[in-house]
Amino acid sequence: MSGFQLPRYSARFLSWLLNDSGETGLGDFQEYYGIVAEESGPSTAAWKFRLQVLAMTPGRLAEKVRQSLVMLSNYLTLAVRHFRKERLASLINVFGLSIAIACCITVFLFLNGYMNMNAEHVNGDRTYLIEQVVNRDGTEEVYGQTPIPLGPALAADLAAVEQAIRVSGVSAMVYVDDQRSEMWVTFAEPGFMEVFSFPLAAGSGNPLREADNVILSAKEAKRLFGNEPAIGQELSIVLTNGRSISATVAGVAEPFATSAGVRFSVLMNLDRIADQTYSDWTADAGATFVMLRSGVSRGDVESALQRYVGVHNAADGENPVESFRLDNLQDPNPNAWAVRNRIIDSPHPVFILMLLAIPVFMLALSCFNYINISLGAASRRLREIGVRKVVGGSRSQLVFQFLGENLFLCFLSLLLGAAISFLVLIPLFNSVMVNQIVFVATDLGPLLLFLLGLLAVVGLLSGSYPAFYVTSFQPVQVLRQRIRLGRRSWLTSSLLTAQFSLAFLTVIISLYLTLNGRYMQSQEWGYDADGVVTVRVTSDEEAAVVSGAAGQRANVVSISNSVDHLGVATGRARVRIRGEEEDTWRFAVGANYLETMGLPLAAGRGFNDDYIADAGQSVLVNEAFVRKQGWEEPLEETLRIDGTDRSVVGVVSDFLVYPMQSDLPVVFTRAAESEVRFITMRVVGVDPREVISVLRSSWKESFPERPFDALIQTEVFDANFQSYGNVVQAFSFLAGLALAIACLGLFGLASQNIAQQLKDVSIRKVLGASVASLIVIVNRRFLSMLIIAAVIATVVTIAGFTALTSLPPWEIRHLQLGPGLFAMAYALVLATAGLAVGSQARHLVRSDPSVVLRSD
Amino acid sequence: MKLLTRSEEYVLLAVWRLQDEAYSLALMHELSKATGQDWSLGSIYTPLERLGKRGLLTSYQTKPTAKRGGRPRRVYQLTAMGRKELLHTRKVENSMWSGITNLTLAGVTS
Repeated sequence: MSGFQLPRYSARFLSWLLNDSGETGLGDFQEYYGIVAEESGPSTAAWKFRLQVLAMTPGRLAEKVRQSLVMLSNYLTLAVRHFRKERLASLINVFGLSIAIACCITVFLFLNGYMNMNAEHVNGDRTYLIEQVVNRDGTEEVYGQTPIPLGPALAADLAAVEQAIRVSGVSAMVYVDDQRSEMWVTFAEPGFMEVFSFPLAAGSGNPLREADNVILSAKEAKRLFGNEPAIGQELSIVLTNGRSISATVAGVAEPFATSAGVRFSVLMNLDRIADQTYSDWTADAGATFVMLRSGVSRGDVESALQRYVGVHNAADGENPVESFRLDNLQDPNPNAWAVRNRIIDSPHPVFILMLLAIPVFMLALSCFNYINISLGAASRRLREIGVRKVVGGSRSQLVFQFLGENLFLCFLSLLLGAAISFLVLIPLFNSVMVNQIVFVATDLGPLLLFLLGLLAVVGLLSGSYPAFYVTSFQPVQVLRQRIRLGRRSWLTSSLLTAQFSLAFLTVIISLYLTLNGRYMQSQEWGYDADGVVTVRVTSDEEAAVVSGAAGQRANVVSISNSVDHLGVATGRARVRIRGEEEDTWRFAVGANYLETMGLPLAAGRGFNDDYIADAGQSVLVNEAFVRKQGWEEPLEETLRIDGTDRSVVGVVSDFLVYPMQSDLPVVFTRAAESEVRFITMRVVGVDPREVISVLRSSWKESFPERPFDALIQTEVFDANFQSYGNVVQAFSFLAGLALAIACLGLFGLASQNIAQQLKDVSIRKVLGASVASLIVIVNRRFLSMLIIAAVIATVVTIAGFTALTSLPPWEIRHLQLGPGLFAMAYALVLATAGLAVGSQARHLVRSDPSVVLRSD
Repeated sequence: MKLLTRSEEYVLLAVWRLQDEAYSLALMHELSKATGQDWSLGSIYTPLERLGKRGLLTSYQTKPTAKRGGRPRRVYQLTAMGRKELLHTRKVENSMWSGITNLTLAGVTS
C-alpha cells in the first residue's frame, strides 16, 4: 500500500480544490498516482501528481471565485430581506453600533493628527528642537526653551547647522479696527518660513523679512476678515506689558494639515519683541529650532552642542544646565511629553490610552448589546435554520449567511457612524477642546483603511457568537421547539446593570452641571455692575484723553483708573503676613475705584487721595482674606507687599472675583499712575453704550490709528458662561449617549426575555391576567436591575462629591447635592428605560394566545 | 444551440468510444493517445462538467476499489442529446470541409 502515500500538501490542496461530494475526483488522482508509481517509481509519481494538481489549479480557482460571488449576492439578498423583516431590531442595532463607530472614527482622526504631526514639513527629518536638561535636586528635568544667544551662536559656529531659528509666543490682544480678539502671537526669525513648509495662500516671498509684516493662519484670516482679502489689512497687537505694535498682513498660510505640530495663528518677526536681546545667556527664547545640513549626523551635532553648556553656566550660575539635546520634529523623543514648556505640544501616553479606552469601551458595549438583540431576533428564525439544515444546508453555509447579514448591518452602521462623527462628534469636540480635529485629503487613505479594519473587527466580534450559537442546534430539536434561546446568565444581568449605573452617573453629573451653571449665573456679584463702563488704555496720554472726555459728561458720576479690573484682569501678589509668605489675588486700583464699582466696605475706609500714605503704606483686604487669616481685628493688622509694610485700612465686602471660584482672598493696593491699564466710570441715566460711542469719537480724534476698546461690566463673564455652557453641552451629550446605549442593551434583553416567556404569558392571558400585570411580571427583573444601578450611581456620586469637596483647596463655587437632583435623574432614566421596554411590550399585548399555544 | 468546442467534441467522442470504461483516467489516456498531446486531469474535468451541465452527459458511480483509496469511480455516458450534438457537429464540420480540395502543404516551408 506504500504506493498510495500521496504527497501530503498537494493532496490536501487537491481535496480543497475538487470539493466533490462523491470523492470520485480524489479517486482518480489516487489511481493515477498508483499507475505511475508502478510504472516509474514513487518519486516520479509524486512529481507527476503535483504537476497534475498544478495544471488544474487556475480553472478550479476561477470557478471557486465565481461560486462564492454567487453565494455572496445570495447572502446579501437574505440580509436585506432580514433587515426589512426585523426593522426595529435592525435599526436599533445599526444605531448602537454607529454611535460606537462614530467614537472610534473621531478618536482615530484625533490620534492620526498626532501621529502625522509635522509630516508636511519637507525638512522635518533634519529639523530639531533644542531642549535643555536641568538637574533639579537630583531629578532630571527637560525644558523646551533655550538661552536666547544659543541659536545665533550655533548658526555661526557649527558648519553642520544650516539654519538656527528662535521662536517665541505670547498671548496678546489683536485689534482689527476696534474689534478685539485675544490670540496667541508667534514671533520668529525670518528663517522660520524656510525651515518649515508653510505655503502661502496669499502673499509672496518671505513676508517675515519685513519687520512690520504679519502672516495669518487661514483660520484666523477667515475669522478676522471673513471673505475679504486679508493682505494689506492693518492690525494692532497689544502685548500684556501694554506695548502696542502695529502691523500689516502680508501673508496668509494655507490651511494646516493637522492642529498639532508647529502651528501659528499670527506670525511676526522676532525683532518686534525688544526683550529678546541677543547676548543674554540668562534669558530664554521660547524655542530654538535647528535645521541640519543633509547628511550630517545628529550625534555629532548633539555632542558639539555640549560646549555651550559651559558658556551658559558661566553666565547663569544659579540655574546650571546639564546638557542640551536634540528632539526631531517628526520623530520626537519617546519622553517628549515630559518636556516642560515644549513649544510643540506632545500628548501624555496616559492621555492617549484614556482616549483609546473610550471607543474600545463603547465598541465592546454596543457589540454586547448587539449580540443580545440578535439572539432575540434569531429566536424567531430557528425554524428557518432547522429547515435549512434538514434539506442539507451545511453549518458553514448558515454561519456565513448570518455573518453576511451581520456584515451588512455593520456596513450600514459604518456609514451612519461616519455621518455622526463628521456632523456631530467632531464639531462638538472642536467646540470644547483646544486641539482641533482637522480632516484633510491625506487623511482619507488611512481613514478608509481604518474603517475597513473596523468593519472586519466589529463584524466578527458582534456576529460570531450569534452565528455560531444559533446554527449549532440540532434540527430535530429546533423543529420540535425544544430549544429555548438565551439564559438568564448573571453576566448579562450584571453587564446591563453596569451600563445603567454608568447612564445614571452621567445623567446625574450633567444635571448637576446644568443646575450648577444656573446657580453660578444667578449668584450675587457683590457690587453694582449696572452702568459700569471700562475703557482699556495703554499709555498715560490715552488715559488722560478718556478721563477728560468722560469727565465732561454729566451722566458719568464717577471715574477711576486701575491696573487690574474686576472680572477682566486679576493680578497676583506675594504677601508676607507675620513672617509667612503666601500668594493672593490683587487689584491695583485708583483712589475711588471702590466707589465707581459700587463695592461696599464692611469695615474701615477706602483709599483716599488726601492720605499721602495710601500710595505705599495702605492696603485693603476682602472678607474672605480676613476669614482665611482668622483675624479678629483686621484694621490693626499689617501686611508686607512689594517690599513695603502696609497697614490694613479697610475691609471690602465679599464680591465675585470669578463666577466659578469662591472665597478667594483678595488685596487692593493703590495703583501707580504710570501703569494704568483701565479707566472705569459709572454711568447713570443713559444707556452705557451711548457713553461708549461718545468716548470712541473723542478717542478717534486724538488717536485715529489706535484701537478703542470699551467693555460693559455686566457682560464681562459672558465668555466664561459661554465656555461653561459648552462643557455642559458636551457632557449632556455624553450622558445622552450613555443612556441611549444602556437602553439599547435593555431593549435587546427585553426582546429575548419576551421571546422566552411568550408561552408562559399566553397561558396567563388565557387564564385572564390583565396586560398591565403581565408587563410587570415579564419585566420584573429589569426593574430590580435598574434599582441596583440607581443605588450604585447614587453612592458613587455622593462619595465622589464628598471626596472632591473635602480636598483642602476647594475654591470651585458649587451647588450642594440635593434630593431633587437625584429624583430628576431617576425619573429621566426610568422614563427612557420604560420607553425601551414598552416598545417590546407591544409584542406581549398583540400576541394571540391561541396562535402561540396551538403549535405545542 | 451553441456549437461544441474542439475539446468538448473530443471528450464526447472518447466517452462514446470507451462506453462502460469511460471514466476520467481512461478518457485522459485515450485522448492523449489519439491527439498525441498530454491531457491533464484538470483539462478533462472542465469539459466533462460543462457537458454534464448542458445535459449532454450523465454519469454514475461504481463500487469503491482499493486501487482508488476506497473511492468510487465516476463513469460517464452520452445522453440522447449528446449523441445528437455530436452528429450535428460532424455535419457542420463536413459542410465546412466540403469542396475544399486544393489545400495542400505545397509552398509551406516548415
